[in-house]
Amino acid sequence: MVELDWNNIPKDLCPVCKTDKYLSPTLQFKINPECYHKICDSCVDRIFSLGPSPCPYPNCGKILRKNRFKTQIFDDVEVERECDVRKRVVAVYNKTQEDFKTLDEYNAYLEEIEEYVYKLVNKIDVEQTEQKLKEYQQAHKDDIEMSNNQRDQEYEKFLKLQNLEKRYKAEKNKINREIIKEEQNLKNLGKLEVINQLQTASGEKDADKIIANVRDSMISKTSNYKEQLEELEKNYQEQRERIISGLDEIKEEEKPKVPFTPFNGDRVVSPPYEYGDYKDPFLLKIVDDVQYKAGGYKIDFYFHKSLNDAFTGLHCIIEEEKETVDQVMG
Amino acid sequence: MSTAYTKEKKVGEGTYAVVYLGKQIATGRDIAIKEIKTGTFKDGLDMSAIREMKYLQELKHQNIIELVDVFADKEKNLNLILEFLPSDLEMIINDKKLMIVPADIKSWMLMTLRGLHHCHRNGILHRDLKPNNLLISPEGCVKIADFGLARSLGMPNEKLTSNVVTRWYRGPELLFGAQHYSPAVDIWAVGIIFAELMLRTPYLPGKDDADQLVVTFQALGTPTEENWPGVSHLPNYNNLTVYPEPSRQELRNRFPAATESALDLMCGMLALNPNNRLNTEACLLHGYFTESPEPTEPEHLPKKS
Ligand SMILES: Nc1ncnc2c1ncn2[C@@H]1O[C@H](COP(=O)(O)OP(=O)(O)O)[C@@H](O)[C@H]1O
Ligand SMILES: [Mg+2]
Ligand SMILES: [Zn+2]
Ligand SMILES: [Zn+2]
Repeated sequence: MVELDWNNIPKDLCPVCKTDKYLSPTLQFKINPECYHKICDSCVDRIFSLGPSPCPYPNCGKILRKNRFKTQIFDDVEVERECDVRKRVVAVYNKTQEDFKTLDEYNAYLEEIEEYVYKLVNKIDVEQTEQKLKEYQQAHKDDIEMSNNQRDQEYEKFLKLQNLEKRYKAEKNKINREIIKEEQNLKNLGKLEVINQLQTASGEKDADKIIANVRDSMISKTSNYKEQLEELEKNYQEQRERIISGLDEIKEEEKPKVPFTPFNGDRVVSPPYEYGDYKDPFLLKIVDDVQYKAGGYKIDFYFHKSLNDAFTGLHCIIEEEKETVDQVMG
Repeated sequence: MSTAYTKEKKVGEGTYAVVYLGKQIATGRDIAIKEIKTGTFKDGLDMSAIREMKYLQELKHQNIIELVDVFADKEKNLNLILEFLPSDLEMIINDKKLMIVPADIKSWMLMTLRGLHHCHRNGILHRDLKPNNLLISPEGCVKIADFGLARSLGMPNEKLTSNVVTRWYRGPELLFGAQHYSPAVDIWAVGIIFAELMLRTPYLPGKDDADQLVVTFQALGTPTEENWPGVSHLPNYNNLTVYPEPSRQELRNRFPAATESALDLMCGMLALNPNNRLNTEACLLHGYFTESPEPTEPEHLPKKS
């Protein structure tokens, strides 16, 4: 078998498993923006499913993660790279024009972005540029964090809207079903009623009046339902508006709520003992050891535990408890 | 067999015990009888039963299983009478018909941490937390169960075995064979359970002990002397492949439904260095529990179908 030339891999061949796209047309190539080495789908699955692993290309050595593999969009790997670099830079430099006082400042900002993209794509001062990006990211961590929090809030709104819509639709369906059912009932009932009343009626004039009466009551019932539907629709739109504008939050806070108690009463705020900076030379010597420190052992836990054991039951006065029990039991 | 209880049918089996459903004759109340398997222990001492009995007698909390009674049968085996809890968190995670929403996860986490806080503030380490040992009452409350491996914090010169906690929930200090550790081992396990609830599949399912190290560090990065001073002195620390710590974005991708504070809490519980891990108090005071959505009321949590 001919050795594979890793510097000149045939277009349709996966260099890892040597499968040829010509022979297996379902073969899909993926690339990872760490090094842009193409690998077929099933190799990606096999090699990276358990977590990050080194790129299988000899002398590459980049650690690749499965979730960053993607289908190549542009035929030209260089275009693909530029696109990725740009995305990465813009994810950090994510201000919009509104964030700037003047257009000049905004343009300067855009120029800076272009410079970083250009340098990273053409591999000029890569390390310094990466460093600058990192510093910028560090310095603007809060802004970036904020936009992520915003994302959370948006998501929450979305969930609320979804919920509201679900309830609204269910309610609407219920009313519509009622209308159909009522109309049916009313028709049957109406017929019966007309016949009933006609039987006891004396003249033709009365019969006309009776039919008109029944029809009126039908119309009034249906319009009653229509009103209910309108009311529902109005309510729904109002609540939607409130959720979208974030006003529902304020309303929720207004209503009295049982405060959240993280410990549900099970927290000793002031223990019955105090040990200040008690030092036990014997024990402290034992735990002054790398095995204890690296394992997470803390002598304080032991002190607390011992004191806690010693003081538990100190406020339990059995005689008194017995008395109350006796009283309760009569 | 005691005359105060009936034994009806077998409902479960663990490493050390067989569990039966029974009734307290006087009250008609459902109870579970946990009978420790014989012959597994030298000197005829059922260490795990004794431990379980000892610690459960000390702990009374709404999120810890209630020990009703203890008696020895004719073969002198210890039988623990426990409140009967028909379901556990593992069943719920595995029941793919159930829909789990973020508020449900928050509720289970809250109850688990409250129970664990009670253990820790009484100086007791559980050492075997996993979804299957978090039982669920008919009212939906989480009850920490199976104290067969529990221990109290002993004198510092006592060695603890690192062979505790079911593999997937074992913290890095235990994987490295540390013999002097802390309540942080339980926090790690709860962090993994948190991840599992969000993913609905085990987060770090190592195939064997060696693989567990690999899987753990692939997901969370390999600890170094820099972020964990002294780690290289622990017994099993050698020849590690160095995996980078995951970026925040990678974690977001792995847990797409998690909010930023949910991720913060999870990362705080899964700090590799046990000295940096959050304790139960810090967990319970975390913003995750006060941000929206509110935890689901226990009685409204999804139940075994
Ligand atoms: N109180 C209980 N009520 C109902 N089932 C229980 C109870 N305790 C244990 N079980 C069942 O028995 C199994 C084994 O019990 P466990 O206490 O975990 O024993 P082990 O220490 O051997 O793991 C559990 O997974 C559960 O299914
Ligand atoms: Mg068990
Ligand atoms: Zn391949
Ligand atoms: Zn490569």
